[in-house]
Amino acid sequence: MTLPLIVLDELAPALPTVLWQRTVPSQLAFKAELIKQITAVLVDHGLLTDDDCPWLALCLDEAIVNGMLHGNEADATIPLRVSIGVQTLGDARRWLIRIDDQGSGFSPADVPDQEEADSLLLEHGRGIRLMREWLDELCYYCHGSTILMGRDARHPVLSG
Amino acid sequence: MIAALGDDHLRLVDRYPRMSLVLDLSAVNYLSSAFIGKLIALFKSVAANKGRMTIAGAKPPLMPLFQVTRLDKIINFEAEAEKAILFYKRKTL
Repeated sequence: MTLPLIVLDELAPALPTVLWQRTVPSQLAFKAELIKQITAVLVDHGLLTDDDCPWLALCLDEAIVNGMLHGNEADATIPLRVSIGVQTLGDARRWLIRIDDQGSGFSPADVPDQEEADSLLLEHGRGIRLMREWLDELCYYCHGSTILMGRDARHPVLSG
Repeated sequence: MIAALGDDHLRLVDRYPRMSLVLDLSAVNYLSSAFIGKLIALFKSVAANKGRMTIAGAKPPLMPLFQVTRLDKIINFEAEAEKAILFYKRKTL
């Protein structure tokens, strides 16, 4: 099921259990290492399958680039904060990633609708559509300057 | 690297119309939406120059990304680059 695009004005809720947290300058040079570290944390906690990794990388790439370039306007003095949490409901576990930039957010009306046939060949705006497809939870808070994304662990591959 | 890929190939497509282009993604483990955007720009440029393009060797975990974006409906995919190249050599434009 494709998630709706939700952008709320309110503050994002605190993560239930924080596994990991980093603050990095808003420079794309930090992106690859950040994605690598986040993936490693989720793999270490048995929350990712091999098939999940390309999707997670795409979601993180999209969120980090948006936060650094659009939210923080690529200003290296403005930090981007990334947190990983996990929510447990009985036997089910859901990982959550929260990314906070310092920008003013965005309007959902400015995001191209990838369901429209005319948008198939658009070169931009595909990232959020893909995130909505794969994630089990996606919500933007603070007018869009905080993203909270999550997905239930499915047949986790334990590391080691 | 993403920008270099797109710009380099777009320049080639402009220089050589009616190009038969095979992109071998067998060494690619991850895609970003920006990379997918570059592929679309490249495909549009090839098509506008009356050429043809195949994406080859995409790893199975990457295919759902192309399916969700429906790019598998407009761009030709092959499992192996050699097969796509051979096909283009046999069936010239």
